[in-house]
Amino acid sequence: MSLDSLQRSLASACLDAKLSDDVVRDLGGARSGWALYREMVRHRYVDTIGESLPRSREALGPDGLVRAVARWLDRAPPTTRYVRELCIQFARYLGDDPACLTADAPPWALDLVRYEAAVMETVIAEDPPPRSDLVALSMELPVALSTTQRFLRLRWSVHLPAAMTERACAIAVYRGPNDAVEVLELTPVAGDLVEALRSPGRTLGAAIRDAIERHGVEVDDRFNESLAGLLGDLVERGLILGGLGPH
Amino acid sequence: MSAGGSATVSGIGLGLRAPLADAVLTRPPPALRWLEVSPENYMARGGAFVRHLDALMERFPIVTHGLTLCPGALEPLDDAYLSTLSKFVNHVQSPWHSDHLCFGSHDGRFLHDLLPLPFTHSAAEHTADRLIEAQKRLDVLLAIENISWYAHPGEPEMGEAAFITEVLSRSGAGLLLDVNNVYVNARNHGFDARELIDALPLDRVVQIHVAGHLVCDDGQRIDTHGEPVCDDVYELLAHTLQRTGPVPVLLERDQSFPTWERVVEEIERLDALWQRAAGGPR
Repeated sequence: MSLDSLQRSLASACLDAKLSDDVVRDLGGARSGWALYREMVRHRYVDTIGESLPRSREALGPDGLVRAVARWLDRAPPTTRYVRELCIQFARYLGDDPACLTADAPPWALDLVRYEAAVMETVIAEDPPPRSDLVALSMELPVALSTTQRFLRLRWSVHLPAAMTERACAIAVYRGPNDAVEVLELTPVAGDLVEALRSPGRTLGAAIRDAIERHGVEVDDRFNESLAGLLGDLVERGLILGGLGPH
Repeated sequence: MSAGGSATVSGIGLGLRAPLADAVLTRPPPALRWLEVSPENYMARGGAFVRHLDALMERFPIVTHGLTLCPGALEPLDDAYLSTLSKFVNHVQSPWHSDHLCFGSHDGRFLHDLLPLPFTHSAAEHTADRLIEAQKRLDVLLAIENISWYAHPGEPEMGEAAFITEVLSRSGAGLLLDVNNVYVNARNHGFDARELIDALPLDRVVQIHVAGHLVCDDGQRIDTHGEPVCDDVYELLAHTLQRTGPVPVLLERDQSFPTWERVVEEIERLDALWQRAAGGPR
């Protein structure tokens, strides 16, 4: 067999839903040897994801996590070379294929996986590079957001484990001082505003106008004060780095 | 610039893992002379983990040991990966960079394990060609590590030592000789570990790895890096050092972490063997 065929067969032995007789025949030797590789590879994925998403592992249960990882491996195996990103790719797959979760998984399981993956993304995110194009915030300019923040919409408040309820919420997960991960829950208007600011090229003014229109907010002194406070808070927390200069 | 990086890599090193990092920084034994890191754990990321490495670089020379070059894989080499890798290797001033003689990806999928290559001339040629290409993108010598393997894909055309030798000969790469892997393979596949080591081009060895392995109920040995180094592997290391001279030796511990005192005991036992080799003729 060609090198390509052998490597394809060995990858199939490790990733496919079942270790087929055809694959074992192609590879040659005893089935037990290839079964061992299969077990080692799959064990590593389950272990790594479980360690990265500890609350999710508990919520899904050991069997639930193994089954979800098995389906992921079979249908959309990881393409990242970085072990730390496995849980992020797994969470994205679950978002596309929630049926991957077993019927006995709690209703907040998907939100919890997405939340813990966002925390991991925040932990490992590259530091914001030095930039020369930052200026003061302006309604006419887009906003530069930190590379170390993620925005999430949740159906369950999984970021509050002691007081988790079913309610729509928008959160920003970000790396704060001393590299600690912080979570900021946003009001519906603030959530829409932050989400809009993430669109490349969207100016601060346009993002504010969209949020105002969507929520039918009356623009008065109180709103303006609140908006100024929000933007100041986001700058202070390091989520907003500044305005993006025209050049 | 690393203060540690200007020092020579010599004696006993330790594979840097997160659970060991604090102890390495605060309670390093005198016998611990250098550290090995996997660039994939630090590349393209920020935060505390990376800053911790900066602190360790002030204290120790760093050697890089990669996980995902996958020299035997069939995909084109990843330019972005090699560029970032080269910058990282230069940043930590590693005197060489090593990775494993295996494949770990296929058709864009990463399996995150060290999968065996067939011991064939075509596989050796293919792997050597990729190593040559990778070497061109790095500013330091590229070395490859012999792996533990549990089954052989396809029909072998030669033995393991001949395969490693052919890859080294074709590519010009250095050898990171993992004596635990040799021992595990020897026990699992029924050959003499010393004979295999003696058959390798030992003048190409730039570094040695030592680790513990798991012995299963059925006697099979699994290279877990989660057990103490066994006496047989210490003896095999002594045999190897007699032939290579005092090349740097690294202790790997990746899971089931013992107390730091137990890790230090292993470092000191390895250092005693290394000192003996350093005192003799190379």
